[in-house]
Amino acid sequence: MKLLTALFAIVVGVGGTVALFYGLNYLVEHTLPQRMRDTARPWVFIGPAILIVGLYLLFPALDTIRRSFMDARSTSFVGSKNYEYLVTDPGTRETIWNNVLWILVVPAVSVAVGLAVAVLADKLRPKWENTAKSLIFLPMAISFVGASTIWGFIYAWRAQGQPQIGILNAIWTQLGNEPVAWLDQQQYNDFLLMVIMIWLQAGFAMVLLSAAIKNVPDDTIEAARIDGATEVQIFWRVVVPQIRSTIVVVGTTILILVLKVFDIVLVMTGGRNGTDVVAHRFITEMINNRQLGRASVLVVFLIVVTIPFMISNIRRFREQESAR
Amino acid sequence: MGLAHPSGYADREIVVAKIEMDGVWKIFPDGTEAVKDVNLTVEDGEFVILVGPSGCGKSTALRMVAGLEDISRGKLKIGDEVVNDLSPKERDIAMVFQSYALYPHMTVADNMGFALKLAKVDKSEIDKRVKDAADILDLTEYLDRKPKALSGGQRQRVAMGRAIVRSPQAFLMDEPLSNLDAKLRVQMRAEIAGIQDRLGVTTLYVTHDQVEAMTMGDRVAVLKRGQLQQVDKPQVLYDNPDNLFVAGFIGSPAMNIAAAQIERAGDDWTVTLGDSTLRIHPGAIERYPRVRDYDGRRVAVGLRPEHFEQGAELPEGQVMRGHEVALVEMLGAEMLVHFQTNAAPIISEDMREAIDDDEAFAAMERDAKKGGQRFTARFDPGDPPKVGSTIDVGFRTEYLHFFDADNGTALR
Repeated sequence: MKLLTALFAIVVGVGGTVALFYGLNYLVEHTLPQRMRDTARPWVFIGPAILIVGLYLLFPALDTIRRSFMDARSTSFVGSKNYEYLVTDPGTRETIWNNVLWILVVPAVSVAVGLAVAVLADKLRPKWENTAKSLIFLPMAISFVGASTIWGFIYAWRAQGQPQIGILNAIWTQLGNEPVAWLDQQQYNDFLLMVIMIWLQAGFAMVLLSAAIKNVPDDTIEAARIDGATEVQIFWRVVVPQIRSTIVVVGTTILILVLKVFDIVLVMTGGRNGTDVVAHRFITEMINNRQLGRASVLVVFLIVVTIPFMISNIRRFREQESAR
Repeated sequence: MGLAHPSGYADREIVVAKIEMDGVWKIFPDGTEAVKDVNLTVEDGEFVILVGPSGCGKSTALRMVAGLEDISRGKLKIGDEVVNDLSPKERDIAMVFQSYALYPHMTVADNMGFALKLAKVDKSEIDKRVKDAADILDLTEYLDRKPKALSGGQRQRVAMGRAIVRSPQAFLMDEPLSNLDAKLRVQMRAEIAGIQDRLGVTTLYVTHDQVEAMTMGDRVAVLKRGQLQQVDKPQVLYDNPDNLFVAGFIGSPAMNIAAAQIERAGDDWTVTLGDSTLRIHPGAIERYPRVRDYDGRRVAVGLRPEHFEQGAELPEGQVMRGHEVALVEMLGAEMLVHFQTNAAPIISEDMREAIDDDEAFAAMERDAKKGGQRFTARFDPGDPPKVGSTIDVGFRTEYLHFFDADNGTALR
């Protein structure tokens, strides 16, 4: 019975879409004067998509902004109170500071690791290059939650005397130290979480950067060699400038991902011990604390911070396209 | 050797060096022998062109001089120093690449000054030298542009500028003109030759274009399948080719080469190509004395297109009669007439390499089966013969060339 419903839904959904476009096209063909047809046709096809994106994306975004000026249950207007909370509450401030740390560390390290692997793999024979690159790329296939679970085992802690199931503590205690509850260490637990994200994203960075490096014309490198550049100088002065736009695109793409990081924190620490980040905090505010206003402010904050990076990314992308 | 520099460029003294390849081999890991036992010396300040069909190893040879490829065997000297194991940087040479290889992220000025910057030359000195080179090359107004914003010809100049600025011991050029359109190529040909002459820098220039080879260099080295065939002044190469390959490769339109029979008739010698028998001018025998050893034997005979004469005013023994016109090309200052003969073509590896075009060679093989081949004659423009009509063509037999039909060596 369920299968039938699903089939029915598919047939009606797909058929309806086809019928809609066909019908609209028919209308354009038969009701509009010749001159207007060419102008109208693209709109007929792109219109429904714009409408749906507007309905499901733009409207909620605007509604979130509205709610950010209202109280916990979105019943009365409270002015900028929620925004004041955003900047004054120590917990929220710590959350934002954590996000800043993530932004500073993760994209930079991911790009650096990706670049290093891409360059080194490029010097290997093709067979080994592909093996090495596949291994680095493999984590990309794992979800954030899955990766977090894996790393949860790596960082796992058992009281002294019990067998250590976490690989890090297993090594650490073998070296004669007492087991450490790594994720409770406020000085560096943020960075332990970032490692997971870097592990996941370095492969992505590597794939794009590797392709970019292979696109650098060999003869510019040979010309530099004849101009008297050392291999290190060739890398920094000839190769890196030629792949700069890819580096920026990869960096900003990871940066946008970092701004939205949520799953890793939820699975690993649940935001305890000073590891909370904005995206996780807003879920906590909304679901656990039932503070719709405060949650909305956090979302608005995220959107506002993301926009400039999005714009720069799109602009870069266009530049690259037009340079082709 | 130090050359006082022509004024208008810089007051520096330029040190140039001779390049000496002594039994140089390049054997790739898969066993391919790209360059075989090449002995070539480019003297101080000399402009030598290394020419050959595609895949003959000329670029590999140049890259070995540059230090971009290892030398498998033999010795390479720049100046009087063996540089086999020196890096490109230590060899003090500049190279112009076919693709120009400009750094796309740098301005023209930075492109030209990059080598000096790496060598930690003073900023003011770099500026001065870049400006001087830009003056020579007419690039002054483009110094702040990126290569992307330049035309092909301008990019080519920047690539030249990058070499000039360094005032190296030698220039190496790898088909620098092949990416330019025909008109610009003619202009840059003269310009590069002019600049080389002014700067007096030892230059090794690689090209597959035999017109460039003929017009630009002091001497031309012809390479085939990794082996040096002949090294000489362009005109000597043209007038006295050492073998069939050089004869067929140098010259455009190419020399007509066909199988022929030598006969002695008293004091006279004749050569028979297909149906035509020509009396060999004593001057030709003087240049190719070994013809006398070939009485009654098959040889390869070469006829340059410009040595044909229109009409049959020449005396008997210098006229090839009754040939059908296959194609006429009117080129304004001259007229090329292609006519069918029944002289058998020479089908050999030399000819395949000289033609450097598999399709054209296949066409020649088909002609051979049919028992004849087309000849090309270059005439003064005038009344063009009709295609399909039959003409008589004279040939000035003092300009005949003779080669051994089997091994291709000139019968000198």
